[in-house]
Amino acid sequence: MTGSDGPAIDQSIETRVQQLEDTEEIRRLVLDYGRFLDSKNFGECAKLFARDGEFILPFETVVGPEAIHASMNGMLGSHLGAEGGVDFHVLANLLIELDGDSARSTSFWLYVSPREDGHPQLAQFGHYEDVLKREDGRWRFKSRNALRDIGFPHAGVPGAVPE
Amino acid sequence: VADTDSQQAMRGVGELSLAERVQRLDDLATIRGICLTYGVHLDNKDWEPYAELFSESGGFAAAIGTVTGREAIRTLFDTTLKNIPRAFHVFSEPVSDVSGDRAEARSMWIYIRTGEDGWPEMLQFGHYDDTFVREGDGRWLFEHRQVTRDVGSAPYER
Repeated sequence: MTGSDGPAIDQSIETRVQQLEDTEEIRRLVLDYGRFLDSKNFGECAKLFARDGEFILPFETVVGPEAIHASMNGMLGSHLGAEGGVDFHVLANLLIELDGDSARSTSFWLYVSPREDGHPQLAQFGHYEDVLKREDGRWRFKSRNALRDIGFPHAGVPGAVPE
Repeated sequence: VADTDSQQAMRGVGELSLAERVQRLDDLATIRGICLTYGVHLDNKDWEPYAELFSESGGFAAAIGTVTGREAIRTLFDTTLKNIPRAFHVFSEPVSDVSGDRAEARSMWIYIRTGEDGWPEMLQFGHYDDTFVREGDGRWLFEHRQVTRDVGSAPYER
């Protein structure tokens, strides 16, 4: 629906409204992830994954909300700032492709943090490649692959020692 | 002025049938999707599908050149950007309006590449002014994209 395939003229209004709602809920899911990640509310963040959801990082792959929650806790002070409100993921270019009860999405992330002199800096840049599924009537991450395109691990993370 | 326009737009929506309102939301979502797909093909230097986002007589105007038609668009990019290292175009949400088989949109773009120190570098910043047309087969396409750079300069200009 959000691609360039044109309007689905032969589809019922009910189907088309459902697709608009699905797109909006997935958009909200991706944005909620960023919000919970930056506030270091990892419990809520991990709940956005399906029960068998995979979180794929450059250094490990974690399966299931409980393990993902633990993995995020382990990133404090190394891959993420030690507390909420000091570093931020700006999310952009969110492209969603629906396919019934599953979907795919891609989006950019810009990791912004304070430089030593307090000015904001763009420290890392990358993108997410997501597979989504409808689970118990709600959209969840079936897999989320977090890829870094520019920059270095730990770069710009407040309090972290760069590799 | 913007508030007045917005209020007029909402009054217009109120007079539409349910089918027309759903069609309008579909159209806005499709145009948003075209703007994002444009960035995917641009960053991948995938000029064939990139040019397919424009109508057969579609126009493109920017510092890099001003051309008309898919073939000319393909040739312009293939020639100018061949040896430019990979970069990323980050977009703001487009503000768009649909009127029948035509639409307009405006959005901002940020050009990000790998800096000399290996960190991301914001090299350019600007905005797009677009017009779209719905073709006979129902597909929305760029009729014209005007690229304005507000800050910075391009790698091919250095």
